[in-house]
Parts: sequence; C-alpha cells; structure tokens
Amino acid sequence: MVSTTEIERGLLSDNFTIVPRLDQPSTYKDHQYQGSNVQRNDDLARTTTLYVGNLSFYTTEEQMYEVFSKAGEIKRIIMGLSRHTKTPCGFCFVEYYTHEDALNCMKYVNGTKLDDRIIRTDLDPGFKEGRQFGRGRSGGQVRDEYRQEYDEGRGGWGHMRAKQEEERRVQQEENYEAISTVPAGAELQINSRLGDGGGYGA
Amino acid sequence: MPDKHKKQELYCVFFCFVDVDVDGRFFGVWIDTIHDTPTEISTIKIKAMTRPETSPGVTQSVKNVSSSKGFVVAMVVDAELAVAVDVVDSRVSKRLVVEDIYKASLAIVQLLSGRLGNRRGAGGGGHKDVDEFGRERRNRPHSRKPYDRPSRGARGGAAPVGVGGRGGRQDESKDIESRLSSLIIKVGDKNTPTLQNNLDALSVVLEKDYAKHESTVLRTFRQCVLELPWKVTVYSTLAGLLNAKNNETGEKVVSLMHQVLCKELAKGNWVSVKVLMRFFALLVGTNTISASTLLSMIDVFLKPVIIDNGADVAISSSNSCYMFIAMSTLLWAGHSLKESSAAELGQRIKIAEMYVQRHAERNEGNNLTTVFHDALPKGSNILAYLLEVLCVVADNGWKIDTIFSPYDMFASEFSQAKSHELPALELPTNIAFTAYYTPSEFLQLVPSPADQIVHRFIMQDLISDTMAQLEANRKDCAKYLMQIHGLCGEAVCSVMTTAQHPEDVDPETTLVFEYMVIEVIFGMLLQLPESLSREMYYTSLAIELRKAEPQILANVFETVIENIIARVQSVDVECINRLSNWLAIYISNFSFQWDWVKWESAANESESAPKRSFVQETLLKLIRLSYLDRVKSMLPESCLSLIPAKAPSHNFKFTVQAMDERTREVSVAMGKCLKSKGTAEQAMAILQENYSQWSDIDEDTRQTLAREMLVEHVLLLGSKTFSHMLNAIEKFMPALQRFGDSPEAKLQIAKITEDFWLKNPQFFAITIDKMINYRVIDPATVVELLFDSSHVGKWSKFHFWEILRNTVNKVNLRVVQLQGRLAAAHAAADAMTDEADAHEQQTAESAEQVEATLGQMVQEQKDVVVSTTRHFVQLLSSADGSTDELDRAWLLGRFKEFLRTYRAQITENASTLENVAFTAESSEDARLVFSNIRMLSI
Repeated sequence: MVSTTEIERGLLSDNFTIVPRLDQPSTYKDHQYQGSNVQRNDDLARTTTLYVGNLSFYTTEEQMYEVFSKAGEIKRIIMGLSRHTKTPCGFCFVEYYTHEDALNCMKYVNGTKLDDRIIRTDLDPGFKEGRQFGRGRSGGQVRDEYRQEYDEGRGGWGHMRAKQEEERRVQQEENYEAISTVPAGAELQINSRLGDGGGYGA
Repeated sequence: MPDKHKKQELYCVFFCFVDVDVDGRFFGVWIDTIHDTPTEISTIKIKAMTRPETSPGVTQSVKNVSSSKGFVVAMVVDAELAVAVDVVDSRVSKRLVVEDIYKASLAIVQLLSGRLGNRRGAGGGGHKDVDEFGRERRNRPHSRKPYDRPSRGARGGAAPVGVGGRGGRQDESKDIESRLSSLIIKVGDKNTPTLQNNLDALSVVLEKDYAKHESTVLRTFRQCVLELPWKVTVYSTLAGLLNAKNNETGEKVVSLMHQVLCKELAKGNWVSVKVLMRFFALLVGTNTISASTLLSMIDVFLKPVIIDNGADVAISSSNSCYMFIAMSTLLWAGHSLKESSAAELGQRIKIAEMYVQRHAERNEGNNLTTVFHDALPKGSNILAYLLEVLCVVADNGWKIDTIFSPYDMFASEFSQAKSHELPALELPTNIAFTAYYTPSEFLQLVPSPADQIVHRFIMQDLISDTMAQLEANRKDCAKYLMQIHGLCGEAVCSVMTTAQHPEDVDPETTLVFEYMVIEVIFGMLLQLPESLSREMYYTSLAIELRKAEPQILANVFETVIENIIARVQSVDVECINRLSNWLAIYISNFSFQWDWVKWESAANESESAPKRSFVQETLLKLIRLSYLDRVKSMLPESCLSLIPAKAPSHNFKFTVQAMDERTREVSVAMGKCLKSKGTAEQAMAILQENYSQWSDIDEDTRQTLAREMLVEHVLLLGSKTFSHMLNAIEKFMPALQRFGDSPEAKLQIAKITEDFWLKNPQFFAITIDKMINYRVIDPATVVELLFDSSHVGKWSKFHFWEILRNTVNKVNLRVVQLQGRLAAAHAAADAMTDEADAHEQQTAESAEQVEATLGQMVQEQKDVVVSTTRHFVQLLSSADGSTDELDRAWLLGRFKEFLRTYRAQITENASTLENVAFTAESSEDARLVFSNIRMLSI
C-alpha cells in the first residue's frame, strides 16, 4: 500500500472535469465594470445575479418569473430599458437569493427558449444603478444598433437600418408630390392597331 | 464521392513521415495519402512524400528524408479516432520509436478530429461557424476570438501539424498532455473491431509516458470513470492493462480511485459511489485488485444491514441505499467471483434476498413512492427488480453480454498481473436520512419484451448513472446519452436514430434504445419522494435530446407522454403536477406545437377529473409562459373551454360603480395619493382622517374597511409587473405591517390579495410569496388562507399547492440558513478567544441573537407543519372537506405529497402530530398515509 503522494493530494482536490460545466463564467463582460480582474472573478464566484440577453422586447417580467423560478426563488428582476423611451430593450438582470440558484439557472435555463427565442444567461458581478439602461446611441442595446436582419421580437431591423428607413421615408415625403385626381387612363381602342378586343390587357 | 468519404470516415490508413530534428527530438508529422483498407500495411514500402495535401510547405522538408533521422509509419485510424501504428520503415527498430510514434498519433488525431468534423458538416461542405443562436457568424476581424487567430508558428504554412514550433518545449508538453487526455477520453466510444488494438496501443503509450505526465493521466482517468460510466468495461480493461504492463502504475491508478471513492462516500454522493464500485468490481476480473479486497469493500455496505448475527436484516433508508450499491456491485463482480469465491458470493446474495423480502413485508400496500398506483408495487424502490436481475444473471453463469467487455481478449496478459490490496472503506455517519438515495423502480412506459429484463436493467442503469453524473452539462449529456448504445451488441437493442426504417422498430419485440433513454428521463423526473436534481434539469435535458434528433425523439416523447396520460387517474398527484410543469416548458421550446386534438375529450370531463385537470393546468402554464392569444391560436376549438376567455387581469374592488359616496371619496383620495408617489405615512393619514369620521360603525369595522382600502390600492399600484408589485409592497410595508397586527388581520390581507388576483393565479402566488418575505403576512397566514372553506371543491387547482410548497420551502430554507450562520458565529467566537475582549463579547452576542432567531424560526417551522397536517386531516375526515370523490382524491394526493416532501420535519414533530392532528374521528386513509410516511423515515 502506498502513502498519499503530493500528486495524489492535488488530484483529490482539483476541480477538473472532462465535460465542461455549464455554470462557469463565459466571455461575457460588463465593459464598464470598475474593479480589477481578480476582483471580478471573486464577484463572479459569489454572485447571485445573472445577465439575461436576447429577450424579445415584448417579453414580460412574469414570463421571465415563470421560467427563471424553475432554478430557485427570485429576489428581483431588473428589466433593461431603452435610455430614451424607458421601454424594454431586450435584456434584464435576474437576481436570486443564493449563488447556487444562479448556477442552477446557468445549467438548466440558459439556452432554452422563452417567447420563442433562445435566451442567454451569464453570471454577472452584480447589478448597479444605471446598468438597467441600454448603452446604444439609440437608447437600446449596442448590439441592436448594427443588426441587419429583421427581428420581429426586437423591433424590426436594428437602429441603423431603422434610421435609414426613416430617412428614406422623410426624403420621399419631401420630394414626392401626391396627386389629387386619379387619371382614368387612355382608352384601349384609341391606340390599338389591332382593333377592338384584341389589344393588350383587354 | 460521398460514399468514399463515408468509408474513410470509418476506417483509414495514413502514411506518415515522423520528422525528427537534428538532436533527435520529435518535431512533427507529415501526412501522405489516405487509403481505404488497412490490409496493405505489411506490403507498404517507404514512399516519398509527394502529395502533401495538408501542409503546403512539406515538399521541401521531405526532400531531405534520406538525410533526416525521421521515419515512416503507417497508422490505422478508425472513426472514433483511435490509432493503431505500425512502423514500415525498415531502418528503425520498433522498440526505439514508441514515444515518437505516439506523439505522431496524437498529432494525427488532432488533425483528423478537425477534418472529420468538417466532413460531417452540412452537405459535406466546410464547417459551419454558428453562434449560440444557431446563426451563421459573420466573418469580421473583430468577431474573431483570440484563440482562433493563427499562431505565429504556423506562418509560411510549413509548420508541422499540431506542434507549435521548434523550441517550445513547454507548449509541446502541454499539447501532448491535452492530446493524451483526448485519447483516453475517446477510447472505446464505439464497439469497433479495432477496440482491442486501440486499448493495447493506448496502454503502451500511457505506460511509456506515465512518469512524465502522471497527473494528467491520473486526472483524466479519474474523470473518465466518474463522468463516462457506460464505458466502465473499457476503463477497467485499460486499468488492467496498465497494471499488467507495470505493476507500480497499476497501483497508483487503483490507489487514486480508491481515495476518490472514500471522498465521494464521505460526501454522500451515492451515484458516484455506485459508479466507482462497479469499476472496482470489474477490476477483479482484470486481476488488478484481489477478490478478497472487493468482498471486504462490499461487506462495508452490508455491515449495518445485518443484525442478529446474520439472522435478520434491518430495514432503513440508509440500508436500502447501501443494499442498492452492494447489489449493483455484485451484479458486475459475479463473473470473476463465481469461481474463486462462490460461497462468499452466495452468502451475499442471501442477504440481498432477505433484505428484499423484509422490505416488501414492511411496505406491503405502501404506494407512497410509486408513480403508478394501478400496477402492483414490487416494493417502493428498485431493490426487488435488481434482485430479479441478479438471479437471472446468476442462472446464466454471471455472464453479462449487454455491453462489450474487452477484458476477455486480454485474459493471458491479466493472468500474469499482480493484484493489489486496498485499505478499508468507512461509511459516513453524519448524513440525514433524507439524503440517502435509492432510486424508484425504472418506469415501464412503453411495452417491452419480458425476456429482456437483464439487458433492460443494465442499459437503463448505465443511462441513469450518466444522466446523474453529467448534470452540470445537459448539452454534452444529451450528446453522450445517444452514444451509449455504441458499446452494446446489435442483438441487445434496436436504435431508431441509426435504423434505416425507424418506423419498423417494434418495442414489443425488441428493446428500443430511445425508449429506454426517455423512460429513464421520466423515471428520474417522477422519482419519489424527490428527484435527484431539480425538475428543470430533466426538462432542459429532454429539450437538448429532441434538438439532437428532432424527428424520432419528438415522436418518442409524444408516445411516452400519451401513455402516461392514458393512465392518469392512477398516477400520483405530485407526479401529475411535475409532468404538467415539464410538458409546458417542453412545448414552449418547440414553437408551442402539440397535438391537442388527441386530448379534446378532456374538455367534456368534469371539473376535477384527472385528465381534464392535467390538460387545463398545462394550458394555464403555457399561458404564463407566453400569452393568452398565443395559446388560443394553437388550440382546436373543442379545447377552448379549458382556458379563460379573457387575459389574466386584476379585480380591483373600488371601481366607480360599485360603492357608496363616502367610500368613493376615500378611494379617490388614496388613488391620488399613491399615484402622485405619496408615502406610507400620507396614505395612513388619509385613511385615519376619513374613517375616523364614520361614527356609525365600530372601531373594528373601521379598521377592517381601512385595511381593505389600503391593500386594494397598494395591489393596484403594483399590478403592472412583478417589479411594480415588489416596489409597492416595499414602499408601503410600514403601513401594511401596522394594519396586519393580528393573525386575523393578516388573513384578511391575504384574502383581499386572493380576491384581487382571482383571475391571475400567477400574480396571486407571487404576491403572497413576497408578502411573506416582507413580513406583511406569516407562513401561518398562508396555511389558513389555503385551507379556507371557500376552496373546497377546488383541490384540483395546482396553484394552491404551488403556494404551499413555496411557503414551507421558504421556512425550511431560513432554518438551514440560520443554522449555517449560527455555526459560523460559533466558529468565529472560538477563533476569537485569544483576541481582545470587546471583540469576543460582540461575537458572543451575535451568536446569541442568531440562536434566538433560530429558535423562533424552528417554532414557526413546527407550527406550519403541524397546522398544515391538522387542516389536511380535518378536511379528509369531514364530509364537508371536499365536494366529491375526485376532489377528495386530489386532496389526499396533496396530503401524501406534503408528508412525503417534508418527512424530515414530520418525523421531528411526529409525537405532536399524533396528539394534535389525529383524533378518533380522523379518516382511515389519512392515518395510513401518516403511518406509511413513518415507515419511509427510518
């Protein structure tokens, strides 16, 4: 029988897994986080808060409550709002009472569908006042500024495209003069060399 | 072309030039052609590398073949990327180059895993880079991640596969380690003809390099055994081969696994313990540990079971758990014990028989932990079933041929190995009786051939272990689950996902792999008293499985759900509830598609009929997850009567029409005050000012009216969203608390809340929940509210019990938290003894405070348990407790659920309950549930 070697002691205490755990922090990062990386990792290791993304603008807090409470009791939900219009803009923070429940949520809820959209959750160092507002120029989320494809759940085509569309519309309104009387159109017989009934569109 | 690719994917031969640098160190590997069959290995002559299809710069380097110290090898690579290598270069002796060969093989594996991955992509085209939402990633420089930038070493395209470049010894070592792990992880993913060779080659490689990469090898091996339980035969063989080749290495592996077992045992991770014991059982067959060591390990689990010198056995929840582990180990150990230790084996089987018999006698007619009440319960857990399997296997010479067992092929090698002895195991002592785990019997949800009991048990046992062990990653778990059949023979089960005509697979004549997996999922979801993981795990795992195999699994899930619902009248009430929660989330994840027409008859059943309740509650959950119109649009007309006609809304009492003049005045004043962000004090002042003038009524009535006015307006203020509700309660908490100064007052607040949210049960539940958190009402209030006589006839509604569960869980959680805080305070106090006096006193005080709070909470916990039980028993014993048999059945089911879930608290307060809750008039079945619970709680 062998005594415990140093290697073995190390092997008994490491957290190595061959199947990666889903409750680990991802590459998601709050770019305005003030602390150091060490502090951030520390915060994440204890956090009870999740950032939730890819929501439809129309998803309600109660719908979220229904899904997220499957992972544990919810302390509060902070809806992400457009800075300008103060309406939901597709993200939110969900705070649980315990860290374990936040991890449960990462394991079981992240990547499932809510309101027909695959939601994404990330461990967040914690909500601070002001973070509920979108940081895009339009007031919403930055990611919606550059979106090209049509997304019914998040307000059309994204703000750049929406702005272009709006500009086109304004331009068109300025330059286009609507007619007041609808013309009747030329009678077919007048121009037709083929005789009655044989003309185009008869 | 596609055909050819397919063939190559399964089996290919590479001719490789293993390059060695001037100092003779491994540098890289160049790959030449791919051949289709391995038969040519022996006839191959050295070829110049003329078609460097993978590395453009290779030609140049190959020109120097003759001057270099490199050599050519042939490598056989099968679909699971296991590699067998043969040296075809006559200049080098095989013995000298083993290390280089395996490094080369690792490099090839890495390259190949990329290439095979590519080829598997859609239409045989390139790999599709998609983001987490399944959309194609746009190829922009800023969206590239640091890790997919080309490494510096690859510049010029001449760098060899896999190795960062000359000189990076450390990188190289890391690279080797990661590839080494991936070889261990991937070996035996499939039962292929080369598995034997692969295992042999891998053991050579591992043995050779063990010293250099000891911790990597051990760590990977440890996790493979724990996380990939269905490959236990592969890993026990590998351990046996390592041991046969080098006794010291074998000892290290065994000793580590033994320590891991001790650790898991101390923590009470019963599934891990079972998985590890299975591994040790198989190690006897490979001559790695001795039979006597294994027997003494098994005996550790049997020791607490045996009483009266072996004349009898003791039944308890911990002993059932130990018996399950011991019996499951015997199942796998029998084959190697039957000759050397036949008598010992027989003795232990006798104990198992005795235990199962006693257990059945004790639990006769006890269906507390059985999901289906229509089938004859063989006992409340899996033990009887396992014993049946054990007997069949024993009659069959202990031969288990369900999964491929490669150790037979290495019998001669094993026979020369030296086996090890292991230190004794110790059972944990401080584990609560609720924390022992014995699974319920695997559910039979689709018919299956009766003579396949052994195969069925073993497959489902391995499937359920895998589900439990990979709980941290449901996505990979789903992926691995669908591979489990890879190691079993074709005769064992049919696999619909790989069958050419899946519709022809008949579960009545053959075991069907997919059905077995889904049966296990539902078995674990519906496990009683509680499932191993949160219900949501089994929901999202099912979603992943269906995403992987959309067509076939969609049908399988539908069939299984329909089979359960066809028997719904005999399904345990709690299980109906769990299944409904499961189904709602499941449906909402697949575009709300479900064939409701099949269940339309439920709409014509009576209000409390099980099927109608199930369908209706599921629909209500779906509305919560989306919105009324969404659900309406997908329902056939025949089912519309099951859902409300209008979207959920509130029921504000003080609408303009329905009140007298002076009430309207107060209401308007309150409304104005709250709308203009008035404070709790201002609201109180308004109420005081107005109601004090109402001299025609007494003080109590005035208080009651004022309370109603306040609560209605606060609820209205918070009616918009969950956050509004939190804000409103938080803001007016002082006023609400002042008005809720007695149990009656609190109950009135709760009842007003119920009336306000009568058409929105979800908001009702949320509001009640948060009112407890803000201490506006007590858990006791909730109990009184739920058992109010107005709810008689509505016991089939799920949301009452959702509220009850949330409330009791909350109380229990607070007790646990306070216990933790108390322990922390005591620990802090102990640590402080040498510090300054002031500090010490402060800590001592806080420990006292915590203790006092804990005392209060424990009392509250007791009150809740006792009063809930009393209410249940009263209602069940009285003719007015329910409107009809169906209604009463729901109530009884919920009573079972309550006692079962909180059996720890029930046991703690058993004597109080005997005296307070039960009387001479108490109904017989309520009493029976109580005594059955007591049987469960030993």
